[in-house]
Amino acid sequence: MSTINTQIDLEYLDSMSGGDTEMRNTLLHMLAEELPKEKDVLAEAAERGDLPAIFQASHSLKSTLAYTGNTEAIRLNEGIEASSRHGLWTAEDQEQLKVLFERMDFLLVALRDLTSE
Amino acid sequence: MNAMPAREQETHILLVEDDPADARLIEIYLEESGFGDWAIDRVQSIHEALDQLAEQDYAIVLLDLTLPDGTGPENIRRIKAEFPDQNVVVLTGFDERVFGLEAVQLGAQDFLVKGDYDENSLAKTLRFSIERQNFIRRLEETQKIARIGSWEFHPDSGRLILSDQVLYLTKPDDNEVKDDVPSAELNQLLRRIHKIALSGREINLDTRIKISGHGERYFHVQCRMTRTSTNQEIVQGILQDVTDRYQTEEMRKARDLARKSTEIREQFIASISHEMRTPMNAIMGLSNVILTGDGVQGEQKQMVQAIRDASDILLGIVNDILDFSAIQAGKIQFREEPFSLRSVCRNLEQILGTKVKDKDLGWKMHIEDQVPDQLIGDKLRMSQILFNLLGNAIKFTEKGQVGLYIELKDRNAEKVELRFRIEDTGIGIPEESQQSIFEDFNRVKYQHKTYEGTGLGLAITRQLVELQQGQIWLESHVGVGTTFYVDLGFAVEPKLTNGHVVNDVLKSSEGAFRGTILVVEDHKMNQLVARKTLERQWPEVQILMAENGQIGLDMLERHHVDLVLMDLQMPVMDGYQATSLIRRHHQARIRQLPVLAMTANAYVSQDPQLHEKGFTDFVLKPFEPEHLFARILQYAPLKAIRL
Repeated sequence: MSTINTQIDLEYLDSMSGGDTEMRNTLLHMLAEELPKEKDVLAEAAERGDLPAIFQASHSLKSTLAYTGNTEAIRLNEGIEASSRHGLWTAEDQEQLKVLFERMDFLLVALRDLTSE
Repeated sequence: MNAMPAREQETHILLVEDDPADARLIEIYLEESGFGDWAIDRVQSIHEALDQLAEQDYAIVLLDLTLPDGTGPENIRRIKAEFPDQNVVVLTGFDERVFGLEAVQLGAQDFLVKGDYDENSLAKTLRFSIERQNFIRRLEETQKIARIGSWEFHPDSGRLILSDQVLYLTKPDDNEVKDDVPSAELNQLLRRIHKIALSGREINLDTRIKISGHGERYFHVQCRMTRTSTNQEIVQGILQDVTDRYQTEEMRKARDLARKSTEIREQFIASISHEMRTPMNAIMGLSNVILTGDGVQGEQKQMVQAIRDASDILLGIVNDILDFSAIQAGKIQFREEPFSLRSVCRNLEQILGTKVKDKDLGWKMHIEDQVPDQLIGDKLRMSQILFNLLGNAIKFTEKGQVGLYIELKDRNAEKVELRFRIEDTGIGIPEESQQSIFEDFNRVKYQHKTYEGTGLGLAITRQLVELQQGQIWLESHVGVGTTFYVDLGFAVEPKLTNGHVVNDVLKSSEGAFRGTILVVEDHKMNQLVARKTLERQWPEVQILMAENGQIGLDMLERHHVDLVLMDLQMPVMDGYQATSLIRRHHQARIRQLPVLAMTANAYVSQDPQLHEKGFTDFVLKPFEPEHLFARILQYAPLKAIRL
């Protein structure tokens, strides 16, 4: 039976690994490794106000977040990707970014727990 | 009535005067004044005057205010009530000057005081009254054209003078205005704005008035307070009917809003599909990896199979919705590219083969020998049409066989017309449903069972056929089977996309790839899915991974590569730039490489850059493994394939 976790959709991950523990662990470790890196890249791009870099970072993050199954983080990142793609950046986007980082912090804690199990 | 004969061009005057001496004096003065040609009809009462005006037009009515059947301003009121546009000059007694002034306020052009005018002032008054009346008529005509009315309000007396157009524009019907009573709605509006104007504010607004029988009409209103020469406050205003302009503007706004909504909806659908495809890539890709391996057995394998099948259905639905949306938005474009008909059909055979086998059905495909293999057209859309029809044929057939037959219908030097026949021995379509089968969201129920799907498949198929000037129809018998016919035209001029030769001699189902594939993809988890999928299928395959276009180009210099799978959005150098550089490379072995774009963008086939930069073809994420394998075998050089 899969563990219920409010941040990571484990059922989704289990379906991807199809009961293959090694694959499941590989995916979780890759997520735990990639997510903080990608968060840092996005944060640095946002700090510089570099919209093309924000777009590049959020585009890459899109694939990664899809593997977490966290729909809220995916949705927030979508908005950021769309705004940066069109060269539009407002206070609302900045606020979305802040919320996204908060959600990602929760995700990272959840991932740490899962990868140390 | 005493009458003098009137000639053409004469000024025809109706004299309403009961005193013969006064009447005679008028005639004498007119004769002496040199007024020009004139003729007078004389009557002696208001009653006779009204009868006479009903029968004949007069340039002027000279109206005595003291008559046997009426005196004072009442006389002008009665004339104006029935003939509001009539030019009237009033005759008053010396001590009745005040009546003359009142008569002017009630609509008379001027007044003459008996005993106080001579031949010159009579002629002058009459000429001016005619000119003023003509001027008023022209002004009213102009107002009518512009749908503008004007009014004047005298707060001291409470008198409101409305032009005909004001009344006409606000009347409940389009008939001529019969009286000068404004509607309750207009009165209400005027009361409101007079109050504001009298406070010294200028009014310039758009408003609407409910008019019985006409709904709401829109008016532009301008109004302000001014003062007369006697320093009396009056409010003057104009009112213009702008309903047509307003409605046009509203329609434009509605059209813009609808267009914007459509754009937002399309963006939303494309975005959602894009987002759905990415996680589905993982679900479908890894499910396939698991199913082709030995890791899971029994019940677990069945569960993974269920995930794989459900994802397959979901992907079909996403694709249907995307296609439907693109068709609705007129965004479907058809490519003109060379392709091998037999190769496309073999790919279809391979993709659908599993489903045919799973249902233990027979399969037949026959392409007439005279049907040319190299065609120019949109092979993707042709595949989609056949895939939809064959997919349905398999879905609705429980026993027997499904077949695809292609014959030459017509040909000339530049074109061929082909007839595709898709036959099944399935449940058949009831006659009453055959007309509606191609409609949007139509799902035929059979024996109270509704089959899965969006009900868009055949609607999309029909649109794809008809947008290419083709035809589609069917013959069906319940319990016997169905045959769909599709007539489509293709050009036949030989021309190759990007100089790549398509492997039409290869039966892709028989091939095994044993060469080297360079995967240029920056996302590590996507890399894993691609690597696992390819290695499971072809254990001899060599996979090279590059994180971006620049690294990919460097690897091409150092390694022998047979085919490139290229992501589009990547840091450092994206897939567009990398492919463009590959196409301009000085080494032919690199320049001529097949490069397949990998993208989750639902509308990639309409991306002009894909063709411009030199991509050979594309593969949609999430990968449908069979598609991916077929694409690779289709474009890879023969030496990299073991038959």
